[in-house]
Formats: sequence, structure tokens, C-alpha cells
Amino acid sequence: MRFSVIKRSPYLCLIIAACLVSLLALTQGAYAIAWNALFTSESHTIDRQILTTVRLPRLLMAMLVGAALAISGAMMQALFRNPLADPGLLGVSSGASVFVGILIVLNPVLHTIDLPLWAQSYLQSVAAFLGAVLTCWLIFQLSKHKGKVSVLHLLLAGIAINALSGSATGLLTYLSNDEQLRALTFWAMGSIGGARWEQVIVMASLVLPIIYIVCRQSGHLNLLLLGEEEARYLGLNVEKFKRKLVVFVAICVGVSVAFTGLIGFIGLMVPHLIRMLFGADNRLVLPCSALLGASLLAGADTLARTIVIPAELPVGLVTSLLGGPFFLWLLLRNIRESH
Amino acid sequence: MFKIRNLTVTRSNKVLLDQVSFDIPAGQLSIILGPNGAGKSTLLKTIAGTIKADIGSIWFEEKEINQWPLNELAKRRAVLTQQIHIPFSLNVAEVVALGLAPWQLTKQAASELISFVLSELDMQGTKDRNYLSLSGGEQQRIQIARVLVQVLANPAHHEETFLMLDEPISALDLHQQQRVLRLLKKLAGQGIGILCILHDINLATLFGDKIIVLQQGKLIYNDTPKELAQNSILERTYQADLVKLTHTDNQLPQWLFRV
Repeated sequence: MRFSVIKRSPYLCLIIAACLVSLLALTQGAYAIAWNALFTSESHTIDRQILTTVRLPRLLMAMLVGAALAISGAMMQALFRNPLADPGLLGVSSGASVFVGILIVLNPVLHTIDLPLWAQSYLQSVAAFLGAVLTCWLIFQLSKHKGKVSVLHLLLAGIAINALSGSATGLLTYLSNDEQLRALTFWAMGSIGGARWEQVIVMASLVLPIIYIVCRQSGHLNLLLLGEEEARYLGLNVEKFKRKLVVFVAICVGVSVAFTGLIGFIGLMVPHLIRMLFGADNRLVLPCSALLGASLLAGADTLARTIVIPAELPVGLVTSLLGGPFFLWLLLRNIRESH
Repeated sequence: MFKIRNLTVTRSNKVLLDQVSFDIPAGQLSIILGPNGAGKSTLLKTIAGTIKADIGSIWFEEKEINQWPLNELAKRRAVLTQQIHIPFSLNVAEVVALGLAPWQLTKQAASELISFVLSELDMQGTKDRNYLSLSGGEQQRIQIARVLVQVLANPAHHEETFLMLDEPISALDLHQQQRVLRLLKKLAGQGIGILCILHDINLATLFGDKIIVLQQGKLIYNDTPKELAQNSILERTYQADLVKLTHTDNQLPQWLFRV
């Protein structure tokens, strides 16, 4: 009975979930804020300050990254026509992480250059984004086959780039000193801790238009489920659309990785949960994935910073702890179904 | 009308189609026959625009096929290829509705058209079922329904529309084969041009208005079913040992295996 209500009004349920998670995220933490303090103007000045400078940008960042990763997952799964595809598969996030690794290891050299403080604080994000864009370009070059983007080559290029990035990161780990090693490791586990308003604005201005455009064209993703050839017979310019998808995924993943490091499993898990709840029609899967991804990552982040107060777990660790078992269960279920 | 002129397709030094020329008129059921590897699917895909011809041209009305915008073409002709696998569990109505992608139909009009086509194919009870839970034959009928709604949604009756089908009845039982072929014949009677690859030579001669036979990429026959009986064309093309009979209902040629 309760389930059928969820099925009938997916948007309402997901929006309510997002509101509840937001309420939790804003009030809970090392410094507890009463929920009614959120809605009164004469609240405690410390409360207000914590809310506006720490909790709110962090919550919005978590939601934007969650939405970006989840909708990228849904796009990739439709593009590859494979339910196990994930934004990490293209190698964009691992390409970005190599650049950040280089930056961390080169840090002593960079300190000799006199950079202004604001530039230093953005350096890591810029490196990650450059890494993502470069990887994306490389993947396109590698997967072009007779002027078309071949999905098989895209996948193979992604695997190769992932392997290469893995060994490059390994090399950097080997070269780094203790402090750098710690920075590298924590970066790889992802964190939304440092979110600032400027970052939130950059993230929102890139991710929200993409979410809007992709949701408007979600019917095209349904056509891809039939196969590229069939989608073409139904009037879709498949080549153009594939390119657009890959660029969108690269931007979403690149900018997410740039601000928050590696956060796994959201892109894989969320579209699956949505399909299980509401069916596989992408016109529903895409917007719902964005909504659920936002709530899920905001929830995971709240958990990450409240579970070991006053310390904080990296949020990537929480999503992997949730996502790992889920992925295994999914795999086993797929195997069982195919028998 | 589709006009195919001098079509030659070569891949990896192998000639797949060799100077094939013929017309696909509206309002007729044209059936392509030929042994395995004769180039039937290649021909269909080339006419549909997926495979680029090295030499030759395909005209649809007054324009060459690659001059047509994809979405305009999708409103005028639907193509069904072999073996379509859908990786996620959509329900039957959602799969059939994919055929309406080129159109902007109201919800009610779409639902009525889908129900009508499903009932024509004896699948009316399956609308809400999971496509992946259907049998191979049932899935094939749903795919036929998908391409049928694509052409039947065209409101402009003065425009010629075409259906191109690659072995649409390969997984169907006898009753359903007859049902689908009768439906295709009826649609051709209403003005839709149909190009259909079949394996069964007897069904082809019974239902086809026109037979096209391919052998090693060459067009070796393009005429009515009745003429097919002459000069043992099929026996030579398929290199099969056959005995020729005549159908008692309509005097059309039929073939049986010799033991």
C-alpha cells in the first residue's frame, strides 16, 4: 500500500525525501542547531553564521554533486546500453585524479612560485577539471572509428585510461612523502568538507543547465535502448547525441571531482534504485535520479560528519561502504536472473 | 516510391551488393528472397540509410535518401531489423510507444493507436507486461507493433509511407505468421509500400505482390510471384532439390523438398 503511493507520485516523494535530508543536514553535526532556528530571523548569531557559511554551502554542494553523478550514471547506462555502466567507466574521474596527484606531489615546487592565496585554494580544482577535460578529449580521439564514436571503442579507451591512471597514481604515491601521501589518500576518498559559496555557484551554473537539457531530451535516451541503428530509424541524430552525452558526463564528473574528490557508487546505484521503484522509462529515470542522487549524497555526507564527532569520515568512504554491498547484490541478482 | 539505382556496396574487398537496381512502389508488398549471405540485410540497411553505398543512388520521391533530414524520413518510413535486444525492463506499451518518437501525439491518441495495433497483432492483453518477460515470438510481434505505429501515426494520407522489415516472422508460429502476413497485405492494400525479407519461399509467393531474388549480391529476379516458377530460378539460387507444385486456391507456384 505504502509502496503504491511512492510509485504513483515519484516526484513528490523524492522532493519530500530531499527536504527531510536537508533538514537533518542543516541541524545535525558537531554543533547541533534546533530545527526551528532555521525558520526564525532572530536566531542565534552563531547558529546563523554556521548555517550560512558552513552547513548550507556544504548541503548544496552535496546535493549538486549527488545529482550530477547520479544523472551521469543514468546517461552512461543508456549510452552503453548496460546497467553496470558508471561515470567512472570512461576514465574521466581517474584522469582528473592523476592531475590532482601531480599537483600534490609537485606542491613543494609550487610553493616556490609566489601565487596569491585565492589562486592556491583553487589550484586543485583547476587541475582536476583540466585532467577531466583532457581525458575526455583523449577518449574521443581514441574511440573515433571512421568518423563515428564507437561505443565499444569508448569502453575500451575508458578501461585503458583507467589502468594507465591507476599506475600513474601508484607512481605518484610511491614518489610522495608522508604528508603528500596522506593528502593523496584523503583526496581519493572524497570529501565535501571544504565547500564554499563560490564553488557552489560554479557547480550550479554548470550542472543545473545540463540536468535541465538532459531531462528535456530524456526521450532520446529511450530510443538508444533499442540500439543505435534503430534510434536512427526513429529520427534521432545518434552521432550528435552521443557526443553531447559524453561531453555532459565529462563536465558533470569533471567538476564534481574537481570540488569533492572521488565519490564512488552514486552514479551506479541511484539509477538502479529508481528503475526498481519506478520502471526503466528514462523520462522518469533521469529527473528522479538527479533528485535521489542529491538526497543520497547529502544524507551520506551528514552521516559522514556525525558518526565520529568531532572527527569526520571521508564521504567517499561512506558511499563505497553502502555501494559495495549493493553492487555485489546487483551482480548476483543479474547472474541469477540470467540463469 | 523508392528508386534504387545501380547500388554497389563493397566491404573489405568483398562485393556485398553488385549493381542492384529496382523500385519499391507504394501500395505493394515486395518480398526479398535469397540464400544466406546473398546480401538481403545489407540491401535493406543500405536502402534504410545505415550502410553507405560505394556506387549508385537511392531516391525517395524527388530527393536522394541522404538528403532527407532524419526526423522527416522517420515520419515516412519505418525499419525493423533482426534481433533487437532491450537491456532494461520497459513494459510493452513503452516499447511500442518508442515508435511514436518522430510524432507529437496526445496521450490519448497515442494510447488508442498502440491499443489498435496491439489488437491487430493479437497482443492486446500484454500492454502492461514487462517486455523482457515475453517469449521470443511475442517480443517480435511487439517490435512489429512498434514500427507499425510509426507509419500509421502519419496523419497525411496523401503521403506515401513505407515499411522495411528484416525477417519479421522468423520467431512466429504458423497462426501468427499468417496473421502478420495478412496484416501486411492489408496495409499494402491501403497504400503502404512494404519491403520485407523472408526465408519461406512458399509464403513469399503466396503473399507477395512482387518478388526480388538476390544471389551473391546480384539481383537475379524482380517480377511477380507467378513468373518465379519458370526456369527453376529458386532451385538454382538456393541449390536445393525441390519439387514444384501449384496451390489449388490461386494457382501460385509452391515448392516442397525432395527426400
